[in-house]
Amino acid sequence: MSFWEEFISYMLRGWIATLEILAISIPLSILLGLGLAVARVYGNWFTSLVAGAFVALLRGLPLVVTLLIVFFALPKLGIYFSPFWAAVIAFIMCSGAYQSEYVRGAIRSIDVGQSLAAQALGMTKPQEVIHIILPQAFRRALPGITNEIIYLILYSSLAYLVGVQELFAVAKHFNSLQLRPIEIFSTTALIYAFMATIATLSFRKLEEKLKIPGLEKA
Amino acid sequence: MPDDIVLRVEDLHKSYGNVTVLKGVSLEVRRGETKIICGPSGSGKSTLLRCLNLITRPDKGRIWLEGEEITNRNVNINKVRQKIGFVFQEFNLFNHLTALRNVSTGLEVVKKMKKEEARKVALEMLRKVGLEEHAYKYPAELSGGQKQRVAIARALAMNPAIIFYDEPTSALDPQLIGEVLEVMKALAREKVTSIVVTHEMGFAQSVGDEMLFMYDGMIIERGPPQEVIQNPKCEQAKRFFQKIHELYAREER
Amino acid sequence: MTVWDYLPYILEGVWWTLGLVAGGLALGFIIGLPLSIAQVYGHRILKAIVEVYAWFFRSVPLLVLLFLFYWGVFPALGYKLDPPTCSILVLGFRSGGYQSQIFRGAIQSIGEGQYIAARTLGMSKLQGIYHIILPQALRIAFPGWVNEYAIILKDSAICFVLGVMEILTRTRYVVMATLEPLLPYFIAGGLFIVLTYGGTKLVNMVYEKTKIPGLIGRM
Repeated sequence: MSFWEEFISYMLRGWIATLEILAISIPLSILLGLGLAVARVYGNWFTSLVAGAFVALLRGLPLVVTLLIVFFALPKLGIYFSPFWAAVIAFIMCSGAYQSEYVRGAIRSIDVGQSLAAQALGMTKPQEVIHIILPQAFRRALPGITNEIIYLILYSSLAYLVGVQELFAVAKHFNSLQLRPIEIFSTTALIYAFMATIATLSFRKLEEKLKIPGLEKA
Repeated sequence: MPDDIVLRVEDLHKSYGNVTVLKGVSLEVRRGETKIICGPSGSGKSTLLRCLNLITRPDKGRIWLEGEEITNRNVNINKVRQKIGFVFQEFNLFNHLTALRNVSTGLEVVKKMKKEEARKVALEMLRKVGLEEHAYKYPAELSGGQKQRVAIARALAMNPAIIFYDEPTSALDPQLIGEVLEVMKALAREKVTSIVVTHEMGFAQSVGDEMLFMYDGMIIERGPPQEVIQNPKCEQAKRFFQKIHELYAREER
Repeated sequence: MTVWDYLPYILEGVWWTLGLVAGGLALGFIIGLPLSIAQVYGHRILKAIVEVYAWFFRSVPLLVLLFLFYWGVFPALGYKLDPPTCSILVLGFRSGGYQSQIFRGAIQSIGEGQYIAARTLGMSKLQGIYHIILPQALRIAFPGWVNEYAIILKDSAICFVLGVMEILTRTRYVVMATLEPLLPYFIAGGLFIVLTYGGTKLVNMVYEKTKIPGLIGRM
């Protein structure tokens, strides 16, 4: 087999692992982001305090540190995660925290009149938030959320540090066998760039699809 | 409470900090009545309306809707609000929904109506306010007058016992005021019970049943609209209507 | 030895971390500002080059860039760089990509009118940009720039893979030496949180003192 044939078949396996990580992390981080934002805006003093502290913590720590804590330090407290799940959990927590800031800002940017009209109709608070506020806030927060998803795709490479055999880990290992760093790492770079670009375009398409005239005005 | 009294308000008070906005307001609205409230800004008109559907809680006083005391703490306020329609000065249409869904959403979410049925009712309401061809437009695509008519349809769809209009035409360009007033006049003639806070004296005189003049947190004059407007008895009312006449006279020229 | 005995050792890493951050930010600024000007005022080809640069450095993970440059590009070019230098360069190239977009947004938000007014007065393109646009753009871009500080600070930890003696590298050595993972990582975490929030607050205080009314920064 030539270098490239071997390289590509190797990388494919790593790439699938990366996609597995992203398939779980992306949706769950979005959900966490929404949940944290709602908790901070609508929760009682305790809920919003806890959510706020969580967000502050996860945004102040480097993702690397969070990841290493989840995998290496938590076992000391009796909490064990496999490499894959440690990575996924760290990614979800960190990205969710960042996304919640965008959603929270979007919720607060919605005119108070929307809320008043919902109440005047007799909607309960949960009904108001689910049917009136979040549909609008989500659309406004989408550019920020897209940004965070791109970061998630790129930072998934850190999973290598806890032993997950994802794209970068595989590339590095292959390099230690074949010693052709330029071809290997620039191809790796381009694969990530490809994923990031596809994601950007897809989310832009999503934004277009969800677009409603008049909602952009803050 | 006699059957035909839809709303009864007794001695309402409301303060914000050390500013007292409502200083003891009482009133009654009969079924089919169109009650007009007017007065200078700062008199407490908007606060009064917001207290009546409990968006703002009054500090003191009681309110009964169709015999039920709604100021009682044990009342399910969301259920009560289903019986009160509210039309805002700034329309407050749901920006992410089409005109049709703006009208049907209350029915689906709050009254738990089936999608198809809610849609039918919504279309009927839009027809009533003359907007059925615009059913699938978003609020941003509608003119101010159209937005307000959708807002009226949205309130009507819930089949309320009474509708509150909070200065419904104050945010509209002059050319668009007419279409909204026409809809409101038609509803008044159909004997839809309502309270209208407004400066539109022509509207008040044409379909209003009673006019309440508010000043500094209290109702200081009341009577048939023509009476109150043309023969105000107290000083503040005289001055207020004098100003309004001047304004109208200037516009007519 | 206990973890606490190693505390000074870990704390020394703060200087290295800050060094990486300062170097990366500065290099990013030197690259990013000219690139943003080129993107807004340059002709098509220049604009395209900047866009490709920004796209590349914002679409590739830092981890991959570090390995690509340290093991691949620099050796191929004949340079034997030590880990800290290589890290600062990579952080700088990458930050340049991000900062070019921050400044581009700031410049574009100023509105054509002022630039046209400057040219009408007789200023050359460069004079208009230097005297009128940049002073405002820099102030508008400031919040975004502070954010970039926070990002580079956190990303600097990734440079531990090259062995740079910053906070995380030292923390890992302590973990290996004491076989005690919990405390050292918490200490490292605490240091990063203090540097992130403390640094941001400090820089914002300075910004407040030099603010111009009406030129509110946009994130």
